[in-house]
Amino acid sequence: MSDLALTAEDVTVRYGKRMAVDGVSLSVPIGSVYALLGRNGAGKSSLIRVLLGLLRPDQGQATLLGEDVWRNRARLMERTGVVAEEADAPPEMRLRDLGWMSSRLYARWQQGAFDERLTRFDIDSAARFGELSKGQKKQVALALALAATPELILLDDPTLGLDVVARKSLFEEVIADMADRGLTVFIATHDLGAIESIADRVGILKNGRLVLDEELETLKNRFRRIRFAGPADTLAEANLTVTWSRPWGSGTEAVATNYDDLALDRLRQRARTAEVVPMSLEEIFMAVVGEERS
Amino acid sequence: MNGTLVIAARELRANTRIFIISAVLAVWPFLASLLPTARGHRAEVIVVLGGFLSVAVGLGLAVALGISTIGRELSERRLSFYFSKPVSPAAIWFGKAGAAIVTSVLSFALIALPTYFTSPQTWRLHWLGDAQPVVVAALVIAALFFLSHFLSSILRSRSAYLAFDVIALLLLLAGLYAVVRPLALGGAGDTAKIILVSMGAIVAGALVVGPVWQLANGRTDAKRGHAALSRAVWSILGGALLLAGGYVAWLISGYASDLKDVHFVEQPGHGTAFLVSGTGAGRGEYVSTFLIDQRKGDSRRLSVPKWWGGNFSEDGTVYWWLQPLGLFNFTGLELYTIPVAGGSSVASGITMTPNGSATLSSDGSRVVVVDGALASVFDLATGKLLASGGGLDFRANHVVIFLGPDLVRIVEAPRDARDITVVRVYELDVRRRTMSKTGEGQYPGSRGTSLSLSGDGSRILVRGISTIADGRTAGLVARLNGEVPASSAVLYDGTVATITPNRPRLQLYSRDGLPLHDIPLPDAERAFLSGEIEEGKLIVAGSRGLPGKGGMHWSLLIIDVRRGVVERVVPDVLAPLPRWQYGRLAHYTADQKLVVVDLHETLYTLDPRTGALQKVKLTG
Repeated sequence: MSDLALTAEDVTVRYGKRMAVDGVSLSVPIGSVYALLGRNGAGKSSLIRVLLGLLRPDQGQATLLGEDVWRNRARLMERTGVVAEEADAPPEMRLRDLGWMSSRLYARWQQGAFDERLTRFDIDSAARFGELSKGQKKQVALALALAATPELILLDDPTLGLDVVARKSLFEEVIADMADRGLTVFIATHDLGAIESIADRVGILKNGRLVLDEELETLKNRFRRIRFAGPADTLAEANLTVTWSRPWGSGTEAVATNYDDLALDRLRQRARTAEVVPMSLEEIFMAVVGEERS
Repeated sequence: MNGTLVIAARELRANTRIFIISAVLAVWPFLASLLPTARGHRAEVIVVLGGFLSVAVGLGLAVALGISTIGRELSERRLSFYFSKPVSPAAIWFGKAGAAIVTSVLSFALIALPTYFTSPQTWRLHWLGDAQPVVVAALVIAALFFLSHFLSSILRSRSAYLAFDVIALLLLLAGLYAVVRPLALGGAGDTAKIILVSMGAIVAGALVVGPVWQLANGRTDAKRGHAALSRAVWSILGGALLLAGGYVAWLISGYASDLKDVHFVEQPGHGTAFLVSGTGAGRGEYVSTFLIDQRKGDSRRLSVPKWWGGNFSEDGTVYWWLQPLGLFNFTGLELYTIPVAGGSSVASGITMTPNGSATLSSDGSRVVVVDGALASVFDLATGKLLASGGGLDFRANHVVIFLGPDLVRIVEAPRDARDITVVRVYELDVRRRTMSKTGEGQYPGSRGTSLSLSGDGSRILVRGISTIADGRTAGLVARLNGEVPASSAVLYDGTVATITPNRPRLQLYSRDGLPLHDIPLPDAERAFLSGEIEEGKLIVAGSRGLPGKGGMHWSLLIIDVRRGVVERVVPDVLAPLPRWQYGRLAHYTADQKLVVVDLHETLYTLDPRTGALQKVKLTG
């Protein structure tokens, strides 16, 4: 049995002449949290639609829990929870009816867990789905997904439009399940601050291409913001690769992508002073997608 | 509970309001019947109003739900809700479709049944007769639902695939036309109906199961769903059409040797060719027609039997027939020809209305078409109009004869004669392009106006009133006494032959009406004139018995007209049919062998001089 919960192999999606996803390959080990980042229109939702078996890729293949998701979608959904970008349950359905329906469809459905989460979220089970706020819809979607006791959960921008409290409670639910059952999480999000604390691995999509796919810890270790007195050429002499560099007073400011202690030593041999600052995931993302330029 | 039922149950629960509204509407007919104006017609008011309301609600819901099921969720991006559940596309479709149909039928029933049970007799009087209203409604509702879903899916997607759908539909209709047309023309109406009904059922089946492919392959993408739906539906229908086409191709491609039931045999006055029509073994009621050479036995298939007219030219070189221009638009006939010596059939481009008739010149090079009040002469090879003339009575029977290549005689006798039968004779001069009336005769009696002409056109027999008239002036030559004959004709040389209806006797008269011979026909309870052989021989078909018990027995009699004796009786064979298309009997050469059919539908050649029968060996 594979120890990968999710894989994409050379997945390509085109809408007419437009390339939405361009040869993306990635894999997510069981029990890990994978954060898929990217600007709007980068191809995250298309990739997730492929991973959920909603969209057949023009090229490549996606698997969930070791099985081809396009062919075995119905069976795989028994073991996979989904929180879509737009919560999509029928608006006229009452939440208890949603629970009833799910209880008939999922063999491992836990009605108690569903009811408890609704209570925690302070949502009345007699309410109709269409009457809920955007945040409540996301919470209900998460409650439905988790009550089915999935082995894997895919969340497409689950915190979009949520306030801080709702965001926090949503992540807490996911984290609790991860801790309790070893749930694998694949999340596409713009909420870099929140995900930074739970993601094991990060992928960044840019114009449909996966430009970065790495352990978060490794990523954060190798990305540094460096400021030093000297010309930008000094960085190359110190064997440092940069995403960008720009003048900083009489010196240079740059983001290095292959930082380590040896590189710092090499730099300090050439520059009188060198300030090295660790970067947050958000800063790394900005640097990678090219929003922070020289 | 499986996925289909769970989804159906959810959908039905979502439709609760529809049931409540239907229940409220169900009260309306009863309230309306309480109005003072409804007094005395209470049952009618309830039944008629209930019927209208239930039909409107049931069918309206079928269309509305057909349009919105799947389609609305696709456009509102809510279909992924179902696809994120462990349910198959088939469960999603059949759950939703089943619930929509149940909703529509239940809503219909909620309104219709109370009014039905109020007065079943009144309901049957106003709606559907003895048919079960709920069953009929369920079928119509289901058909409307699936059709609405299909149309809505292909229109909503705004995909270029719509052009493919239109082309596929046109191809399907054209294919169906191509499949059904030869059956209809070949008299296989029942087979055509079975194929059309089967295709209808397959269309319904394709619309029912096609959406499973739509969801399985398109899932939440409307355009891809449309493509998948179209591919599924048109593939199913295309496959069914191919099967139907293959079956029809097999049905119409029978060989002459397969014929098990010969409907008629026709033979020209020269040569060795003959035409046979009939049904083949295992090929249902489709009537095949073959042009056969009796010496070699090889046959050529004609596309259409001679339902609308057809015959050999006098010299036996050309066979012609009329064929409808369309199937559903049956407004005209086109003349087809085929050279007897070999070659393919040719559509001449010469057309006429279904009331028109055609007569070929003796060498088959020209044709006269009498249609309405107009007679027209065409060159068959080119289709060119050579001459035409008007003034004919379009309600009359017409018999036409080429007196020469450029002179045509047309004899007419109006069909609506009451006490007087009028016979008019016209001549159309092809070179001068003029048509003139050369004579008219009026004769008492009106028992049919069928005409017979002598070989040179010099004598006319008005068969129903047994009157011999001059071929050019229509003036009276003689009236024959006695009972109205069962069969009569002017022979090639002007001699008149009649057969009495009871205990048949052949009576022969000179061209001036003088009695010549009265010959009893042995071994026959009924008889008709079949043809004549040069050198004064007449062929008579005799029969005894009736179809069914004991069977019907045919015999062929050869009469020596000059001596007035029955020269030969050939038992158990049916003589060739007379050729009334030309208003006269077939006139065979002395050395020609006749083609006859025995009781077992086997074709034989008969040497009239010796009576020897020889089985026709069919090679095709």
